[in-house]
Amino acid sequence: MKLTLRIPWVVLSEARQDLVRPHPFAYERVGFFRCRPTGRPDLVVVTGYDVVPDDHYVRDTMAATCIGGDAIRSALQRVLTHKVGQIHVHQHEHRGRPGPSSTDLEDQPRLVKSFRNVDSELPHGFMILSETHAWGSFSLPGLRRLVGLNSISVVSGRVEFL
Amino acid sequence: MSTKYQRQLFLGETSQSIIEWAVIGVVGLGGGGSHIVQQTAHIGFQNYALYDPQTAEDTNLNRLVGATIRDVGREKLKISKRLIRGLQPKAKISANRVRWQEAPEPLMVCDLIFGCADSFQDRDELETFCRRHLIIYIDIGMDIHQVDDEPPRMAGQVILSAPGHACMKCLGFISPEKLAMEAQKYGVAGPRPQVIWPNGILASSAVGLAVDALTGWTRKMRASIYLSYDGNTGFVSEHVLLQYAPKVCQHYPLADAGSPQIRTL
Repeated sequence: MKLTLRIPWVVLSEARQDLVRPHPFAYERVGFFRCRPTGRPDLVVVTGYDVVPDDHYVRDTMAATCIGGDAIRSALQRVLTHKVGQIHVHQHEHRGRPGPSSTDLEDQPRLVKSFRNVDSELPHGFMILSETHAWGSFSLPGLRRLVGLNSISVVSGRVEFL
Repeated sequence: MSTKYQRQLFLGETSQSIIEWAVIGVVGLGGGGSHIVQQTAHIGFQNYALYDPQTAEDTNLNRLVGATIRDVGREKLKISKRLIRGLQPKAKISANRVRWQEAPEPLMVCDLIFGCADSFQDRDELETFCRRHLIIYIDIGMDIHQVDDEPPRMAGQVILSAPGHACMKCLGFISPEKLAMEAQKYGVAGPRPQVIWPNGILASSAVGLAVDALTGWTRKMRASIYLSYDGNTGFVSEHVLLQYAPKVCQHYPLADAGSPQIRTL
């Protein structure tokens, strides 16, 4: 199974505007999409975006960006309070297909597992945007392994496929 | 490379692959839906979710595109499938001879849904479904009214309802009053007058909006659209209420998309 993700254009724009802002010391910004399941297990809709505040980043010489416990706790709390899945997202400033780093592949599944521990009935995941494409890995209710993306539709009065 | 679609290359370099990739839903395969099915098949759409529980009657033949006198008694679904297959033999068609509410799953994967429903209630439910699944909804419909000794008035609408933007309630097309009035008249309305040419105009406008929504060939970032058709003059124009519509829909907040959930108060 692969996932189809639908994102409102306004939410993606908000995320992109946030993610390209320079940070005082981190090399790149991260954020979290809120998402909800639908009647189909392979279809998830994004419903909002949450910024990671500047002071929730921590200095780390091993990674371009590291967020601290406050950022993680805030995301976990959103799962609990608002019943929304969390998709960790960051953006690579290039065109074409982005890909995860070895650090992403090592750290992000652990973060997704934490979200799943709070609510396993919600979809969670991590994704990387480029200027034109996206890559992602997701945990879906009832599935033990992570699944990849089939497609992303960006929806407004238009539908664009990433 | 096939020259089949060379006359529509102006839609963009990747337009044909987008058209072939996209999944469209058509709810209602009568006077409006049959036009839409025909046109989308000509354009090259390959993936369909079709809904109509009815069979063709002789009273449908004045407007049911693709139907012949031999089709009286045949499922409208089969007539539409035949129409599509005649142009797109490899098309993937989910044909559902039920009301869409009884088997909504094939609609969930649609990128865009055409609603050719007869009632405000059906339209309202379909738009709610689309908002919940972040799907563009395009509604078409027409009516003919007779007032006193005036000539009959023919009017119709094409509405593109974009998730997050003005909905049909924001646009004043659907209101609690209209829904209540319709519910009171339920079962006593009788057959409504219908003819083929306004359906053709409305369906063509709807298909044009759909192709633009998918290919972006006009390079406009569109929000919702409300077109009004005056069948007595032949004009299609932007509805006056569109300029008063809110930029952000309050009836269907984006945060409410996805499966319904119970909130603790």
